[in-house]
Amino acid sequence: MIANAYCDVPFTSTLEPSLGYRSFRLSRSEVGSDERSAGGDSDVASQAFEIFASEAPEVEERLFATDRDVIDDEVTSHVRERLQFGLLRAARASQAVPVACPPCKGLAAPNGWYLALAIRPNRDCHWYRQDSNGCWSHEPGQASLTDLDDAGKRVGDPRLADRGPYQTFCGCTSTDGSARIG
Amino acid sequence: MNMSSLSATVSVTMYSGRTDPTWVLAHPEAERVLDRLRKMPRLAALEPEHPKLGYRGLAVEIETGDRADRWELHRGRVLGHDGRQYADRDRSLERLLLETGPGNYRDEIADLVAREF
Repeated sequence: MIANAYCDVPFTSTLEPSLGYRSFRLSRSEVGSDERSAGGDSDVASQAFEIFASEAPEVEERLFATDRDVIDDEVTSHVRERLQFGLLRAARASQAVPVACPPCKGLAAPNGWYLALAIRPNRDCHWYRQDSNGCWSHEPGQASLTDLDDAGKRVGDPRLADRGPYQTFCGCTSTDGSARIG
Repeated sequence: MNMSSLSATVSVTMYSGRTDPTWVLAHPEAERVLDRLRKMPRLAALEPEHPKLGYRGLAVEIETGDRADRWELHRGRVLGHDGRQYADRDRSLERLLLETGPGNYRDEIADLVAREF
């Protein structure tokens, strides 16, 4: 049994099955025509910052609202697809993104999920998802799902986890129940 | 086997949010890679390590006609398409394959090679 770093909720259950973060992956097909015409392969994430800024400059404020209800109400499916772009953009501008600390208890389907994002600046991003038991799981590679960090310890707090090269922790956000995760 | 139809698709497993780099080697480069793979000595099988973030090795898929054999290379150990494990001594083939990457991945792969080798 492992204590949660924040509220001592014990982790007793195992990983929830059927994860898959593909809805939140930054893939070339999601980036759009501007990125492709720009030659793309150089830095997809960097291009995505600019696309996000030009398409929805007002959304970023909503994404970093600390009131989760505001986020749930305001984030449309279009915006949700670009959620990571906004987080990445903010993370580049400031290494300390103003979001709430990781919650102590997960939402779980069908209510949605809390997500945490870490990045290698201008290179790549990596998502963690909080399971209903409060522990966090992630996918190091498309075929692997684990709640262990790079040091082999369970992820009770993604900020404190060994995240390998994803050294910059951006913050947490949430999705509603309509988001496809798994 | 018609060697002129031989190709090798190299995929580097290194990203999480982005699509991993993939490129294709044509004949005769692909044939040389296949020759190296076939000559690798067997190793006793080890349990896979728990997955980590960042670079996790590369895969090369040798395609001939309608057949595709996948080999996975990481840190001197090769998982063959036959399920057996082989030795890539000094990680020489892994490094050679990384260095065949196209120019748009040059910086990233150069960083990777500097860290890994």
